[in-house]
Amino acid sequence: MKKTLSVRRNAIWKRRARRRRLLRQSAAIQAAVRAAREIGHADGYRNGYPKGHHRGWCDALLSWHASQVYPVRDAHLLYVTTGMGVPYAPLDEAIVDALGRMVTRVTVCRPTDNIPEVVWQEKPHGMLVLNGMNLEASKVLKVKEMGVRTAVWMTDDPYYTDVTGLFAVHYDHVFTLELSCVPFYRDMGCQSVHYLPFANDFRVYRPREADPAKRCDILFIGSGYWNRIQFFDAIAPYLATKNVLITGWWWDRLANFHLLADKIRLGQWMTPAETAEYYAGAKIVINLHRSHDDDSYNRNTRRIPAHSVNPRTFEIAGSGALQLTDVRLDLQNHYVPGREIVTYGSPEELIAKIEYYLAREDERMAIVKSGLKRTLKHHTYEKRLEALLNVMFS
Amino acid sequence: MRAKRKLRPQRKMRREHIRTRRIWQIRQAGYAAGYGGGYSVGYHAGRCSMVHERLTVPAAQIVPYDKTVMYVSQGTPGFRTIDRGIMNALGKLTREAICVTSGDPVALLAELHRPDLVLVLNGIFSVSTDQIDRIRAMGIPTAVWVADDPYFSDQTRVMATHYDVVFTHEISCVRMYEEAGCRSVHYLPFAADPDLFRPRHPPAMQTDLLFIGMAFPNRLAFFNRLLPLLTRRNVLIAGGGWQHLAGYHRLKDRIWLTGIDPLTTPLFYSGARIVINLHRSDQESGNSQRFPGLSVNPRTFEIGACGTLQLVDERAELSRHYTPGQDLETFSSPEELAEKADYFLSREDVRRDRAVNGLKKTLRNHTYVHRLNRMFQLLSQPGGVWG
Repeated sequence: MKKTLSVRRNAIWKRRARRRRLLRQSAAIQAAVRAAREIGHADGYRNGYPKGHHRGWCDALLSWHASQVYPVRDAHLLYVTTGMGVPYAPLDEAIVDALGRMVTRVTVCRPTDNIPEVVWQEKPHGMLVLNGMNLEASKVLKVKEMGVRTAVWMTDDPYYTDVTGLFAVHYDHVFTLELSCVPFYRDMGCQSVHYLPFANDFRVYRPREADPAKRCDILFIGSGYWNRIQFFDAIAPYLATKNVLITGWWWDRLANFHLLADKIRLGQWMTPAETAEYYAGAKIVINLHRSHDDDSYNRNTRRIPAHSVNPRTFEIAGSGALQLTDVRLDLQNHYVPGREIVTYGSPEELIAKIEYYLAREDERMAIVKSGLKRTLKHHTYEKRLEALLNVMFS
Repeated sequence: MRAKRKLRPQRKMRREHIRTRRIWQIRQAGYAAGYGGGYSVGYHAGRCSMVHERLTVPAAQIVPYDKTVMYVSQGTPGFRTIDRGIMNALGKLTREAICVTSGDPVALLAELHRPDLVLVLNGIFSVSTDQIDRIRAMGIPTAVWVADDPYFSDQTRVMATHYDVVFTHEISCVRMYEEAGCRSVHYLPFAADPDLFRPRHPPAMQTDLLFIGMAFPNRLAFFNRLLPLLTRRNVLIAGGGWQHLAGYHRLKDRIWLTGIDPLTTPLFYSGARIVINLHRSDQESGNSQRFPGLSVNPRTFEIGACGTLQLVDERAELSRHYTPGQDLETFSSPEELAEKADYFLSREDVRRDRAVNGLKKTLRNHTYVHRLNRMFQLLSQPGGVWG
């Protein structure tokens, strides 16, 4: 009897001890769960806040600029496209879109159309030709005879000056995106030559939430011209350790191709929309101008130097990524180095600056923001066309 | 037996493993929730900061008047934000601003500095009228900006006659001062100081509904009918006298009877999703003539400058400053307030659009720089003291 009692008591004690232990355990588990949730939440908040802040800032800036109204000029303009498809079609679109908001009427033609006939019927006040390499000089002369002001905006200077130098003289006004070509066209006999760089089309290149698959730390988009190949060969060992993406033609010419093979997408031409998305998803975008004496696709026998920045400079600055660019003389007219854009002069400097800005999120964002502000303020197609129309219709 | 013992540590390890993984998943879920929350709060803050950056007039662009102004601040806590705003703006708009408080020997200081204007804020309680008379006798123009109309109109009417120029933020009192014998009376509403009242992040506290202010009888009666909303939401009421609220015992921890230092209120406005602004009743003992309260209180502008949604009781002058339904929302009964609060707490996007619009309107039209510019214009008019 005694024995059974003690056994029973033991059993009760055991049960109680077990219950206590379980309680203790479950309390510990609950506390751990709560702590995990709270820590996770705090981490998430800390990371989400600056991202949201940046996005909200950019959106407010963009919506303000989108709401700005430009004075409409009472003019009818005939616009002749390049007629070459990519990569010019997006430029045509951007210019036609901006023109539509700045003059009362725009008529769009291709260079293959019977332009004198169109001019005879529609009677525009002026004709603006983009690039002009596909437009026969006879058509331009006929249009001029009808008393219509003509202008051409050169898009490929100085790489095709052998060709463009021949027909520029037929136009009343010549606009070039290359500063060093202004004296060249004057020498060729053009009366009115103006420097007019490209700009950013904010309908395409703007800060946006990028697809996670298109995010990377360091990005380069462009063809592998020889000067670029040389440069990237020098930094390939460094880039191999980073989250890098390079896309474009001819990159298999790299001596160090094997180091970067998995980071290069060869021979892929991306649409502007896609490019914009990659720009927006990158932390740092490298911009390296092609050399003016590279002989692949180059008809610049006079060896006119390239001082001006490429259109990509504006596009990257408008996309909300940090731009690291090599220095051209004209750069400081568009952006303040170190505040709105970051420059490099050598492979070593590029590596050092990539390291610096990848580690400092806030400094990078500050530069991105002021670059974006500058682009919106000064480098939009509306601003450019305002200047162009002022020259044409003054 | 042996096999069992061998298995045990493995089983334990597996259990540990499952537990760690589960905890990790919970953490990830918490991270996702926190990221979303932080992102959306950050988005609004970023939008506000852009608006602020864009609409704040840089000091370099403000052309100062070639005048010396001596400003006599009220100095009491309730007026601290107004004092600060006026002093900041005077610093930008005058050649020299001399700031003294009402406790100082104002006449003596005026004799010493010989300013072009002595501007007194509210003057009823502390600056004695014979000091003002002495300053006027020296040939220095004096102006008062009355801040508490119409609640103390019995006193202010007598006091105002001692000044050259009277500014009042209450449009219904302009006639009163003119009838009392003041020669130059102008309507000049208060404003917000964008350096002090701006969207502040991180805020001091996150709340759904916020009310800061004393429990005047009309406010108590109003909030007594609002109890269901107050108990349902995350509210904060700060100010003296709220212990007389009907449901005080239930809301005890969400009512701060000591109030909030006026200079820190932007930190609370910024963290509130909705700020309630309820004007004091004009049926008070200090206003025996019953001048109606038509104009809005300074707080209307201060809330508007913080990038948050303001729910305000409608006064006649409100639509002169803001567009209800676009920059802020109005209510006329506790039921309407509760309904609108519930709507805007569930529609975060609409709430934020209103908040940003309110911020834009405030920065464009309602800062102390705007007001003092207007004041100096009025003074420089022909027939004015500087004219």
